[in-house]
Amino acid sequence: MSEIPIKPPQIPNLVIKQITWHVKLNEFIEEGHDLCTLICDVPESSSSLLSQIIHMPVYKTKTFKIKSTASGSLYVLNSAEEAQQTSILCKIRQKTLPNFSIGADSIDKCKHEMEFGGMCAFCGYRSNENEQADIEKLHCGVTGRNLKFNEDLAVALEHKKKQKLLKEKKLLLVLDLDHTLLHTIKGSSAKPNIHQINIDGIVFSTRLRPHLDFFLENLKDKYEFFVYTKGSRKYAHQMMKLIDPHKEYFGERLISQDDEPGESGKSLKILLPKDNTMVLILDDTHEVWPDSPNLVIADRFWYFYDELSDIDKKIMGENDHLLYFMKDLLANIHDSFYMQETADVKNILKQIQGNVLLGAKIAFSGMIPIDIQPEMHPLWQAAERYGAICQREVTEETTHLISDGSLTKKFKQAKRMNIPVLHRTWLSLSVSYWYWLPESQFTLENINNLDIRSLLPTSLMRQLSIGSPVPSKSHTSGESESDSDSDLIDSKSDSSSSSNKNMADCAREVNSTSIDSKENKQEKGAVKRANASQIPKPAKKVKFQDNSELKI
Amino acid sequence: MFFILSLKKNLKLTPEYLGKRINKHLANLLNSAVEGSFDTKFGYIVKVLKHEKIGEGKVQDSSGDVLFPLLYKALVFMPYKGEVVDAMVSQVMEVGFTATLGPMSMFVAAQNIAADYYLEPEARPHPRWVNKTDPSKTIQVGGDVRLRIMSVRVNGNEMMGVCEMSEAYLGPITV
Ligand SMILES: [Mg+2]
Ligand SMILES: [Zn+2]
Repeated sequence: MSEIPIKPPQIPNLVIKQITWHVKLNEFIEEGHDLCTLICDVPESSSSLLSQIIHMPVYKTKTFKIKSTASGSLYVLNSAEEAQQTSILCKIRQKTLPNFSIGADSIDKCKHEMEFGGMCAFCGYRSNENEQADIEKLHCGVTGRNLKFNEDLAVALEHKKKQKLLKEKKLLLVLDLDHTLLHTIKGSSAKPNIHQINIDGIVFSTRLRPHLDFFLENLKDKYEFFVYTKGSRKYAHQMMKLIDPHKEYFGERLISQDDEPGESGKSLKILLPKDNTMVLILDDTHEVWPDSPNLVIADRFWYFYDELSDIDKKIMGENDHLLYFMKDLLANIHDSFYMQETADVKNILKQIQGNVLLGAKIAFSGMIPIDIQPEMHPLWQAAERYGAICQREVTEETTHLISDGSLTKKFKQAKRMNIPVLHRTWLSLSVSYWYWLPESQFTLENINNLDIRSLLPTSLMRQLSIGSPVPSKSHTSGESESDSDSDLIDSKSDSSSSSNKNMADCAREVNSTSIDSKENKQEKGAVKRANASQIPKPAKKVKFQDNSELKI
Repeated sequence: MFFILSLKKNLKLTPEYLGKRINKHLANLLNSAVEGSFDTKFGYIVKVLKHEKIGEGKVQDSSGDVLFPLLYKALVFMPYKGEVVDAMVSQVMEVGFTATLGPMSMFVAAQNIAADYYLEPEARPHPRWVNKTDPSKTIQVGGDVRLRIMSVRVNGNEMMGVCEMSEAYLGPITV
């Protein structure tokens, strides 16, 4: 393989003003093919009368037609400025037929710059497993599976990928399988809504996480999805058939244990060698991602697990809504990325995290064992990471008391001061959903009637209720209102395919509520105590209008 | 290419199976152990065809398990350097394309694609390589393609090959 640079006409002091390309990048062209038209300023010979008079070179505008001097594919097309600086218009990668018989000679000539599964992708040379490769090759999994490149090539491909994403206004999203998108157990199960699969004669049962289709469908235009699992490739393939039977969301973008045997952790470097400003991760296991600021931790999805407390039953398994809320979060991150000039998803993630509970001042009662520093407790730390301020005592400013219900001094104090006393689920769920949940359902009095589904838009809820009936208390007057809303949307979108209609409705409904502004939060934190016999109303009224008022 | 080979496998049996049905049990165990597995030397074992001989079992000192050597004939898929194969295109990218043939995944670098193919990166739903003189000849996801193997390697549970597609009779196959 050799590269032929195509140069502008060799005239001293030539100024390139404009290039009009007649070819495209990567196009294959033959020798003599028209490449471009150049408009240049050319200095006239110094002997001209005018230049002698003004003692300066006189320029004349000329047009040149440039033809290719080689056959091959175009891989650099320069703009007028670039061409002026580098004196190169474009580069052609000459294609030569490879020498099929791989003798020692051809191996010496090949630089083995690219590797596929331990073999040189150009000449097939197999680097010996025992001998260390002369130069460490880098993964660039966004290009393709099992491929490794020398550094220059990897960085160039990464850059190209980035340009393509920017053009398509997309980001990358790396998704874990087990406990993030689904739950699988060995053996069969009598639970509803499961898939049974057979791998090497062993039966497995899988339940896809609720809202998975909704999540993928609504984010597919904003993200390019990858699956990255520590499971075997065989298993992962079976799972992909369940998640994405038509390969419309993931294509071939799957990384499994077989791609990096012996590696216990996960690393974004298998996808992108250097740049992690446009990639996010959703995974339930943070231990496999040491120090990754790109990680959004997903609450673990358990379906085949019966020893749940009463509260857990209301928010886990069939009632798991994490992906629904993650869709909102990821859509928001995407949108703010493309609103900024030089954006980095890591900063956006951090910023959004610090805003989730901003304005909340939280005290704890009966939650933190007396023998540990309250500041070290996971709940305390989580709350502060998400923007809340935690307090050792109940004060005038306290907005929430998280309590186990025991009649402590703080409990009595909060009751007297009309500070909402909430079950810890409010905090842990707000943290895992990245969303300040409305408090009304989480008071110690109401927690046993918690119906997490009522936090979802009605149309989505109705869709979910197919197969398993929604508890009757969700059917309230609030629903008729949004019923008419979705009817309106339905009538407008007659042309859209019916199979996607429900999804699209939900998407519209959800998109209409954007993430809370900072002011909103602060306002919320400073709710006047005068009204404190009532629980502060959720700031996200639009979204929760179905339930919040009704439940109080 | 496919071969029928005589192969050997040692199987360990726990004592509870040492009964009347031991032969049947060993046969089942052999099938599930080797069918669909990769052998760095022989390639991919497609199917056990015949159980030829069950050797004398040896009792293991510490556990009481019994180790049986089994001889069997199996159908084996073993691609080799220089072989021309037909495969299905699985992914097209600017650095080349990948294709699969049964258990083997293969890669053809752009440099090893005949010079009269060019990349259409914006093609939908996937990018594709198109022949310049005959645009009906395309390399696209799901299409069939004829390649020549340059190198094969078995890595753990996968068989991989580097191939080329630059000679006249190689390329997309239209049926
Ligand atoms: Mg996991
Ligand atoms: Zn090489």
